[in-house]
Amino acid sequence: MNDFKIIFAGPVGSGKTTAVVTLSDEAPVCTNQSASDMTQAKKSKTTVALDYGTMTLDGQEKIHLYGTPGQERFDFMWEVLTTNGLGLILLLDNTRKNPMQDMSFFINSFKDYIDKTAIAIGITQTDIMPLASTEKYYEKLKELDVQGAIFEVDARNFNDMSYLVQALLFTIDPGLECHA
Amino acid sequence: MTTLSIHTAFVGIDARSISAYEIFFKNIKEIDYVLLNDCNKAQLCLLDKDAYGFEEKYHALVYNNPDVYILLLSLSEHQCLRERDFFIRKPVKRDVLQNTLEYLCDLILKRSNKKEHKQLCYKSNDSQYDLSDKKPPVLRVVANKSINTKPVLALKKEKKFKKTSVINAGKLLEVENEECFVGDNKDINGGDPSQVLMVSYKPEATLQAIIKEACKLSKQKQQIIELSVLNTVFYFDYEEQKIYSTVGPAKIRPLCLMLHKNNYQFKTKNNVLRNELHKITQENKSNKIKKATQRQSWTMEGFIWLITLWTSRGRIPMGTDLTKPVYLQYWPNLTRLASIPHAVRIAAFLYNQPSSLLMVSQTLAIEQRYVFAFYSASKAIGLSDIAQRNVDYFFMDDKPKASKNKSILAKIFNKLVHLSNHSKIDNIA
Repeated sequence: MNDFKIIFAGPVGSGKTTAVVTLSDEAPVCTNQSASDMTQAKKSKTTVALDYGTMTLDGQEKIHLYGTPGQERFDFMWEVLTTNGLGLILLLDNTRKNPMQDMSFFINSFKDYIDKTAIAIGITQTDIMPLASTEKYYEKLKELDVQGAIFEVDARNFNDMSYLVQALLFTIDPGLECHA
Repeated sequence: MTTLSIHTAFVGIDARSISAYEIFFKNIKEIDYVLLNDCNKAQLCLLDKDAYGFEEKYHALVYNNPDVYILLLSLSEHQCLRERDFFIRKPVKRDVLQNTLEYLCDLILKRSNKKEHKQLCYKSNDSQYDLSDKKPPVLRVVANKSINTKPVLALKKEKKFKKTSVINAGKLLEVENEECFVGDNKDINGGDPSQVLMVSYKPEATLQAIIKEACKLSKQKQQIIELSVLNTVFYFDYEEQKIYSTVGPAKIRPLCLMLHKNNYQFKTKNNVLRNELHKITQENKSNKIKKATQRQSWTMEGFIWLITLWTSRGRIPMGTDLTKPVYLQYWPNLTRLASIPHAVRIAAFLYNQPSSLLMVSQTLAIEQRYVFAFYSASKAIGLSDIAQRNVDYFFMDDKPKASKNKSILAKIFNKLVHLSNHSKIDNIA
């Protein structure tokens, strides 16, 4: 049986751990540790290895949900994690100084993976820093020569995360026929 | 056996006629018609269109009691504006009234799916009904080519799918009262102009057009614009991309079902008002469950999307060519907009490549009304339109890319939909 993965990436504090917790069927494995560097200003704990959760499907197949560490010093993990992945969920924190720059950084880092699979982007923290329109994010995405859905999301909200993953699925296969 | 009851009221009908109707109702044994003096509490209202002050009475009734079913009576032809409006031409014939009431009772008591309907055929030219018990149990309406109108009897949904299992495919979230958003029109033959006309609407003179005009004014003047429509007040703040309403969705939706001419006005307001309006947003945030009648704040995009859905109800703007490719500039922010069934599938398909609306419906095996609703709403917020580039015509019939992992993707999707339907939806409308 193949192991399929959905990868969650994004900067520190963008909600990757929360997103994995929201979507996972079982209590996820998180490798959060107290932050010891400038990350501490953003949040008290940070993911140092990965977050891991699963979704069990009909037929007992499992989809593995991996949250990558947000800190760039752990970026060696990213390539290992993306093997056999279905697609990338990129979460961007709208309260950060330059979320566009974050977007460029992560898309460039995962470019090969995105080209082979697909991407869906969730903008988080819009309750703190409201987003008038997703247009500017799309303009940046176009510059980076990537296509994908961009939604405002609350990583704690299952329906928001569900929409985002569904957008990823239909980006991979727009003609997908599903049997409800 | 329990007798079912329907709260009924008369508006604009004289006392003598009411007595006659009372006798008529008493002779119906299956249903107990409870006559009320207050039409705002009634489930069914009989309204005389020829009575003095009909317009005011009708609008007040629809405004105060948006869920009411109205049976309009008139000597002249009438074009129904609401889905819940029905019309009988005077002099009222007993069998016509009886059959119409039976149909209305089914709708009101939500028995329409359990009980087989007799076939009713309405001929628009002579305004008479033919009744036949022998035909299949489907309501048929002879095409009424009027625009922005509904035939006398609502079209009964006749869902036809190749596979039952695909019905809910991509339906994302169950949307309550989805007919309010996507209507109940059945699929049409896109090559037949008269059928296309039946699923077209004119946005002009609707609340959708007025709202867009107000947004434009606020942008031009860089000021807050106040819009008053039938005692409902909206404030448009382009700078903050916000719209505020003094009432909630339950009071706004009926306004989308009416045509507005000279019953609205714009006023330019000082931007100092903004602080006062912010209180509405704060109130909404502190109350986790918004009341349907409570004053509310909306994002400009979200409000235009919602109003367009309520206005279009699964129809396309007049003049849309169903055979031409339609593009989607980018995905609508679906997590913050009122839900449309199948929206994610339609968005993914159109974002991938421009395609005609008929092709989208056919390829995805989705009822046309969902595709039309999505297109109308996306067009209203400026994300979608008919493609003008020649290149879009070359690829419009291409099949979308397919994944080798179809099966696993479908399973993930079904899992998400299943879980979404079991979690509480914070419905925007």
